[in-house]
Amino acid sequence: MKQSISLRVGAGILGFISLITVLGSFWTPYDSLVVDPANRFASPTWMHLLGTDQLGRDVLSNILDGARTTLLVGLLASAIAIVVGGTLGILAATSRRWIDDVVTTVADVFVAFPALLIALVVVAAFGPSTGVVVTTVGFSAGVSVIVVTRQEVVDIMREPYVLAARFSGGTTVKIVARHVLRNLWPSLVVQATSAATIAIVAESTLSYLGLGTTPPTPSWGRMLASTQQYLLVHPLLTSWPALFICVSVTGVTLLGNGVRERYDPNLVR
Amino acid sequence: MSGDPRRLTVDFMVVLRRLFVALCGIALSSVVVFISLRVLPGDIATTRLGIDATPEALAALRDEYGLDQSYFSQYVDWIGNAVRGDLGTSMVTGDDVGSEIISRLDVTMPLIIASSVLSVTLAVWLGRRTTLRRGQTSGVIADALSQIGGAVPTFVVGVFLITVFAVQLRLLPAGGFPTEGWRVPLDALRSLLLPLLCLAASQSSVLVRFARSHSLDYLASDAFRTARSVGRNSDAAMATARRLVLTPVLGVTALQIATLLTGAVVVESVFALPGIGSMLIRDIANRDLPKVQSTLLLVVVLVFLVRFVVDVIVDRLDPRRLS
Repeated sequence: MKQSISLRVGAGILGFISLITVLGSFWTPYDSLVVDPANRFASPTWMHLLGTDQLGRDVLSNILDGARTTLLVGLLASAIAIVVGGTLGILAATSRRWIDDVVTTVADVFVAFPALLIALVVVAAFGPSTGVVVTTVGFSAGVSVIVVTRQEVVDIMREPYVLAARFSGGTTVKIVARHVLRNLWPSLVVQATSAATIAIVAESTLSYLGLGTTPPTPSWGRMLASTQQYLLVHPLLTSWPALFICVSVTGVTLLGNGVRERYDPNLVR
Repeated sequence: MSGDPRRLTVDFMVVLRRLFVALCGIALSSVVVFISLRVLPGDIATTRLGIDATPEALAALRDEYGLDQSYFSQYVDWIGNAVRGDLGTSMVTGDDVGSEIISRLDVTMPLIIASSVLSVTLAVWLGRRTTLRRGQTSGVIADALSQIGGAVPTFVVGVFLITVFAVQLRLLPAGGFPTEGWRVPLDALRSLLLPLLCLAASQSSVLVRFARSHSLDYLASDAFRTARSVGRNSDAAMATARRLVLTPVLGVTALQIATLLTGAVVVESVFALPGIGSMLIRDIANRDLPKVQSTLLLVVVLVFLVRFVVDVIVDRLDPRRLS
């Protein structure tokens, strides 16, 4: 069986982002907040590997520091989404009819609201913060996890081996634990990656609009917004945060696709 | 299928049920919007005037916007007026919300409609193509491109397009919309072209994942195997999947309509377009909450209306859904 390229590259990128997050948490070449007015817009040199920004701050240090925000936002939001969405999805598919109806109807209504829009409303009410972004995006991504998981579980419950397990006296709880979860987890991983993608993009977009992560916490989205006005003269400065945002989202997306390609037994190759 | 009167009744019942769900959705979401803008510390008047405002000024503002009444009667007034076409007035400028939204539809409507059509077409085509050419170089390149496209947030795409087409090539305006609007159709079209591309690109990269996943499912199906075994080559066999892939993508588009509107919020901000999205961002920044509330109500109504229409269309396209 051919190993999936997506899986390898995705895992590699994610490993790289985790690595620079850990590195950035313990050591950065410079203090990412220290300004140096004499040394603004410096080109990349051995002193400043990625150059300095409009206030003379070291870009590499800010990128390293910002990685933590991005990774945490992705991880926490997808954890919320999977725990909330997975549990309710399985519950809806295996419980009595009215529970299913209630969960499905409420999910159907809320799935119409994208994470970013809900986050905008919540930000309007509570003011901008990373916590607001993570929580709102986690829950709203969780809603689509409910919908997808419920359908997957309903399909799995119709499989002959589940019927066989039932005939041999397996309870619903046992069937879910033994058969459903085992077949469900690739789908959950794929959905976790998509939730992480949504969260990372939402955080950077809101920070770009000035409604996300607030200073002094570093954020790639805010870095991009603050350097955009110098785009014509110093395009490199804007491209660093843009590059890192895009690379991390690509990594997570590739990982999701790789998992699907690797673990979906119905896929012909 | 229209010859069978029983089937027709079923169709009608399904449409009616979908309409009922849509109305419930609008009602439920309007309550959510109403409540979420009232869980603030303090109230809307304090938010607007600040904590230093005199009690008299606060009382006057509360009286003007009915904020001294109970939440229930505020909600009923708001919805009642909205049904009669009165979306209230702005707390900042005092302008009528409804008429400002209508004047901004000139920008937002063409943007949304054109980019949905473009993105669905692109996604279905790309999804089928990348699936079919999975092992080959062209497929891998197309796949990689669509993945990278999906990884670029809308605002980055926008900044990139401005840099290339407006600054470097000087082909199109970097932002703004002619003050004469559609009376100068060519200028209006030119200023909407980049935002349109930007929105369609980010939208189709979401849709292409669904198109791809459904194409993969089709590739694994008996129908594909049968088509191959009667001698059709894989391209021809894949052509059968067009409707099979289109229906879930359309369904997702219906779910994505609010994402599209949110995308429009971002795109309008990046390109400085006078649309509903940039208005919403400005109102949130100004804490013009009665206006934010009414704008969101309109978004909610639009979202459920589009979902209703697309669901009915998909019911027609996909006969399996009704059986």
